[in-house]
Amino acid sequence: MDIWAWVEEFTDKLEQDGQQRLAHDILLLPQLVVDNRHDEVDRLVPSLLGAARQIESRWLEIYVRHWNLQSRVLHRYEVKGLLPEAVDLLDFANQDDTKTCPQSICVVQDLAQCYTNADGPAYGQERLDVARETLDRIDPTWPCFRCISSEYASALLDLDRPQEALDFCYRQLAAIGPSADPQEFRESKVEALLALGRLEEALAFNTDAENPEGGESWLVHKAIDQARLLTRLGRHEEALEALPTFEAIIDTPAFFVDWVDAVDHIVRGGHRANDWELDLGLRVMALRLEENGALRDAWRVHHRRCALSLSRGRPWVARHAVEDMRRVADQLERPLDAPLRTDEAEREVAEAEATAEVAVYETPEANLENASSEPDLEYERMRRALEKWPNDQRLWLGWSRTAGMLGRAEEIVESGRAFVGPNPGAWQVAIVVGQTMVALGDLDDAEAWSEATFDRIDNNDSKASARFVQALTAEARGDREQMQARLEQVITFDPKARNSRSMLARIARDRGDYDVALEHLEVLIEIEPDVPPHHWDRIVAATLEDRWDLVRESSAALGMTIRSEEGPIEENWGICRIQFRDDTGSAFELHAVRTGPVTARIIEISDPALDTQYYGASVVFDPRPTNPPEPEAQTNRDAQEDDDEDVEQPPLIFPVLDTLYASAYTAFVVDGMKPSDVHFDALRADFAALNAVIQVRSGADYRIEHAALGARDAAYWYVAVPEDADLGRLAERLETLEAALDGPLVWPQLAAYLGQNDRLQAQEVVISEWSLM
Amino acid sequence: MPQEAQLRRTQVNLGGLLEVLGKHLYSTPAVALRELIQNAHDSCIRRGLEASEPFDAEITVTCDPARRTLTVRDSGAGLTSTEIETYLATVGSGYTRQLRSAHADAGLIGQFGLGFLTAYIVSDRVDLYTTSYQTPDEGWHFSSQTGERYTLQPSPPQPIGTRVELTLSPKFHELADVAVTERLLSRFCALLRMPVYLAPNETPLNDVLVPWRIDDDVPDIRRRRVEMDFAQRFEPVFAPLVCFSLADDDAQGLVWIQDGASYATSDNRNVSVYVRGMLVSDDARDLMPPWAGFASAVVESDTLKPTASREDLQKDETFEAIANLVRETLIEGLHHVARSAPETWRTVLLRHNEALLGAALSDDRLYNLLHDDLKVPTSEGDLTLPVVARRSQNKVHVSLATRGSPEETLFRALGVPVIAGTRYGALPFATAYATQNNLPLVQMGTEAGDRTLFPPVELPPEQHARLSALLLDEHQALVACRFQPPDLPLLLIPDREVELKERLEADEADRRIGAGALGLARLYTRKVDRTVRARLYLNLDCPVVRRLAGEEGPAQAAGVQLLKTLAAVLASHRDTATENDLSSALAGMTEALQTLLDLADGDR
Repeated sequence: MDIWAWVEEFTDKLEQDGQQRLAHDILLLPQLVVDNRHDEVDRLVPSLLGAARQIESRWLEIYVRHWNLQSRVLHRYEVKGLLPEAVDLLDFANQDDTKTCPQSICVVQDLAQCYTNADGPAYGQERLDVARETLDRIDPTWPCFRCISSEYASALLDLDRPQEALDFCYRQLAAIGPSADPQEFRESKVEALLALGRLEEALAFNTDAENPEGGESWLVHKAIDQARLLTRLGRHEEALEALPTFEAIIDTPAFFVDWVDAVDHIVRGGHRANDWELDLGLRVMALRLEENGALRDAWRVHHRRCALSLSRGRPWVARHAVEDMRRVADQLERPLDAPLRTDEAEREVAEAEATAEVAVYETPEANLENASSEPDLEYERMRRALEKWPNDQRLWLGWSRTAGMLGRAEEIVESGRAFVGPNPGAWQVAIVVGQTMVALGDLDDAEAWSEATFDRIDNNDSKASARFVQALTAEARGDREQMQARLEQVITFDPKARNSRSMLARIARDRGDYDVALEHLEVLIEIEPDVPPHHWDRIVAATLEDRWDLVRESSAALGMTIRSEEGPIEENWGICRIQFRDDTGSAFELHAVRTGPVTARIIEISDPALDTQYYGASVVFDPRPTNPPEPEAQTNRDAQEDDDEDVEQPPLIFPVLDTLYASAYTAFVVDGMKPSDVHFDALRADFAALNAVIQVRSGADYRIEHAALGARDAAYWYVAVPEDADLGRLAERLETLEAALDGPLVWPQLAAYLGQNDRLQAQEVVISEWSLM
Repeated sequence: MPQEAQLRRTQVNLGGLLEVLGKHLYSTPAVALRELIQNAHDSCIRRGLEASEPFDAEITVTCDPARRTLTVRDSGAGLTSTEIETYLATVGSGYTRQLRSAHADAGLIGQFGLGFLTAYIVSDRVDLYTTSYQTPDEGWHFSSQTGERYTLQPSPPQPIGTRVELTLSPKFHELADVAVTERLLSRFCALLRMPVYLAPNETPLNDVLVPWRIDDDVPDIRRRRVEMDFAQRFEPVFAPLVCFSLADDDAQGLVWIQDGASYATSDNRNVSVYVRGMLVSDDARDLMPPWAGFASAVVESDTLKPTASREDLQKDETFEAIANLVRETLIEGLHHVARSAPETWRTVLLRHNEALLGAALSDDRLYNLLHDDLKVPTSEGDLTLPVVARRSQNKVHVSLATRGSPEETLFRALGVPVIAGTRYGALPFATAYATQNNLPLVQMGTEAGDRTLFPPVELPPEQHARLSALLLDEHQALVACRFQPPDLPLLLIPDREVELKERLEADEADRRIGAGALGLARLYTRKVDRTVRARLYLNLDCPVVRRLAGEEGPAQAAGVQLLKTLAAVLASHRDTATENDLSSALAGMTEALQTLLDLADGDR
């Protein structure tokens, strides 16, 4: 059975069963893969896999896992991480109930692809065997006949048998018969023709090739091949134009080697700069390939880097590339000629190094001051200068900056360690080493190294810096307590360490330790009296700590006028809205009167269904509004102020930070017919006598309807009552109102609270008949 | 003048051309209507440019289902008999092209001189009555049935302008239906700047307030109303929720969010594009970013280039630039709503939470906007990530299992939310959030996740050996650790890699898997260390564990047996492969309980 026939049938069935979304996503997955939309694949796959297991469709599971492997292995070359999955899927797809699934054929290809991408030439023979075995199981009418044939041709190419690969492609086309598209097997044919030196033929074929179903990835690969062919034919400008950009391919390692091949030729043709940035770009690619386990390709890219660095007269960079080649070659399980060619490259580098000249200036300072804009040159100059002045800390720091630009983090660590040995007092070097370890993610090393630095050097700056690196280590580990402890140690050695103080103040505030936050902010303001955020932070902490003197001091520093001179600030600064969050994290806002710089009193009854009632509560808010007036609006407002005072800006919204005084109210809902203005005013007055407040929530067009009794204008309102109010009297008053209305009125929460079960039941009937609440 | 003349051709077989136009260039016969409107429009523009007398430009469409006719009348320039012969009867040589070269900014629509031919695709006969502003005392009647031959004869003069009457072929009779034509015209002509009437209505069909054409000083509240009404006109399925205006030098328009629930992979992008006031495409979804399946737009741009059929757009640099503009408008608009309209923002989040998870992962600015507000499905309901992190002591736990694992059961008991990684976008979004905030992300049910959940504690070697001897079966390893809750003494977690190795290296695998494929698989499994098939994570914080470690005798043996039973029970939730162990463990538990009861009897 054709897998697509099954997919179509299966998704039709799903749609009939109301599972449109699943059907849609099943069809979407391969499209995302061929279009190189791999981030979207990663979002979709877990949900599809979950669904496949939920509905216990093992064929669907194979389908999803296969396309996931296509994305991750075929396109992204994630060999190392996904090889166990490919093996597991092979096992899964070859059980009694799964082996008839046509996609189980493709699963074999997924596994073969892991080896192709890990090291195509080394596993060439096994890949040929597997492809042959699979081709024997199917016939040319299967869609996978083409894929497996491509894989067979690719194995022949990796075994350096291009003519056989080409002949094979033609044989397979003949086997498919008249329906075969002569442009089939584009990649293999282009590669074979290129290897055979039949460039014009390859170019003509590639130019005409089309594959409407190939998606974006097919087009990109075709464009790269086009550039490879054009540049070999000396048409470098056209090649450059055809070649996709670095940004366009950097997320898809499947493109790397061929892209690098094209760039290499274009550079040699003199149509692209051969500079340190190119080397850095290639190194990023090679490291990514290595990390993914695509080792042969990683080695090849480093090999190109080596040659390019030599040709631009940077043998020391070529030396780095050789080291990378060596490291990768050592990981190859079947190295083939990689060690030999690495040796050759190393010899060439050594020869070039012997004659390479880089001038070192006469003093350490001159080497720092006269640095050019080529970091790979300066890197070597300073390295040589360090040989002359091996204990010059500034020089080492200068060198480490250039090394950092070249991505030589490991070398910085190694060199820094070596530097510190004979220079135990070079604490700045030691700190750079520690920071670099953190950046490399070597957190244990960073911790130990900084501890040793801390112990070794009796200098407050050094001790503070060492502890700061350890705080960063703790932060990277997500260990907030340790981070706080380390920062506290920093300030014992350097009480004016601003970053540490700020971080400590923030940690303390987040934990609700406002007294501690206040201490740090006091110091920060002493160091930096004119930084407004310090004052705002202090106002918040001081408000929560009842330090109104400090609130006034910082308010004055920020230019705010406070009328009272001492004690709590309780002014009317107009209406604002305070943003709260419920238990699930959803935000909601309540109107409030701003009573001071960071305080407000809530004047809106919050939803009685929520656990907490906020009406009447006093809160402290974050003074950064979520809806700051736009600068433009602000200017317009200023300009219009004289002639158009009615232009109203929406109230500012401030996120709540903490509660000063909790609400002393509870609330309930009343729903039903809208009382007349007279009735409502009387009710408000009576409720006010009991300190209860009414707030209507419904709009003017709210109407309710009864099947037999018709429609009524209606109102939906909240009532907030003090916790000690006489609720029974409120209920009686509502009963009186209800009796006066020609329609329903219900207050089930209050009735339930008062234990009036009969009334509650009666109101529930009304609620149902009039569709209330 | 001959009674019947042949259409002059430009080396084209007209019959073949009509077939090509009908089948390939134009997707629907309705296009004929659009082309006639364009011709009428351009004719009015021409009159404005060339004639000195002022006039009211207007177009009127009349449907007559009884006669099966569709008539388009305009008050434009009209045609002289020579012009009819030169332009109307010559393929690909519309006058508009000439006029455009002289008046680039006049707002002319036609471009390729093919428009009039579309009339023949839908008609049995085409009649054209015209009086030119140049010869107001003459009238002409052009008539053609097949499009290959025509007659041209004088007719009584009429008001200046042209009337084209199509006698529709039976196949396309619906174009004579008022409702059908009204629906088509109101889409095609919505932005046309001259009135288009559908007789007998006296109000133009395109009497639409276009948001980007209203005065700058219109109050915001009124502008918003106009935007919402306009968006609603273009939104067949969903109501608009909030609109953002789009403008730069090359394009103007409106983008809006739909007020209908979406899921992450819904693609309800609905984008209409107008060029020179006429609809070119109502499915230009590529102008909207792929992550915005919940958004719609109408774009008007005279720099976008239609394809020859005028039914699609050329994907050139202008197209890219306008796609960027649409994306930026949408992102900026979402920021604006989040800042200034919290209630609307809440609805946006509620309707499109899942789609926005995808959007946030596609664009860093959206991630920054949304990371605290979007919810992910968890074992404790849908929660935002800050709530998840707070309730998990600054960790993020994700499970990819479809069935609850023992760890998850644990977490539920502890009230710690575990994110359902099997739901769309949940895992990548949680990963992004954890990375940004330096929070450990624990993927439950993976080896790395287990290491984070159960950090090993170093035990003195002799104690480790003693506990191993007490608790382990063959091929198991002991990991002493401390974890929550202290009431849970241990967990037994099998090593999946070893299970896989054993399956693939068994002889039975040779029967079900081809030799070549199996060979490749075994290259991998040979590297898997077979010695540890399961790890027993022992909780040193559990009082029972502490006590058992110290005691010896029958009570200890019984206690150990019970612990092993518990481990097997918990593991059996996770994997069917351990179910056999479960029955023997249960037998052991019964035995252990007997022992304990005997001991208790002894105490009495």
